[in-house]
Amino acid sequence: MSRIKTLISNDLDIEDAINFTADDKHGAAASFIGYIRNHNEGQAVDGLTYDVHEALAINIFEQMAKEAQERWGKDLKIYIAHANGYQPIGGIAVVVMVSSAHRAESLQACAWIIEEIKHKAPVWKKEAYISGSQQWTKGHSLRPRMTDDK
Amino acid sequence: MTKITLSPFGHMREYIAEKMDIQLDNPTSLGLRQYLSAQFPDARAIIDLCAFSDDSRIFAEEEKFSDGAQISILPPVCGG
Repeated sequence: MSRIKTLISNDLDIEDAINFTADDKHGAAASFIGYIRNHNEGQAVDGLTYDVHEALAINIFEQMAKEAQERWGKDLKIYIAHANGYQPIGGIAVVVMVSSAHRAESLQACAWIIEEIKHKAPVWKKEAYISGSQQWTKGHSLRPRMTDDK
Repeated sequence: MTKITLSPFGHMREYIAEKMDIQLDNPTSLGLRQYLSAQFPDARAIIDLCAFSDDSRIFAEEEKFSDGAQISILPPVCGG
């Protein structure tokens, strides 16, 4: 049975993460749950719409999970899920859960994975504001460096 | 000339509404970035930050696209 589960969905389920990472040999599970908040950079947010390159995102999430297992242990169970489409305030944007025999590995791996997602996942979001306007939020460029770049 | 099909994501959907077939003299990320900057001059700043991918990986800057390739345009990302 795989020790990695990745998915993209419009309706994320925290129970699914808990059930997947459960393991009788594991005494710890660390999680990060991202929610849609009602403000950003001084503007009142009404909701947002995610745009996800699903095939590439799944591939990148699996690479992240495998790298986390290389760093913190092959026995880690890792769950990574990201929302797609419209999400209201309070909706779940992302779920990362990692279980391990002891707490240090799962805490460190979970923190590392969510930072990787923030910087590398092919995900975009368009915020809708209470004022009626909408805007794509700023992000991190994935443009590779040239081979002769310093 | 190399024919490719473009798929926009995120902010680039404001400029390219749906999949678009184009022909490139220089079928690389560099060549595609030059083509897009010429076609959409208002978007030059964001195009300069775009990466290009297929369904499994991001292309290196000088890597050649194959004829008929499906290329995704990836502006700066903001997951989570």
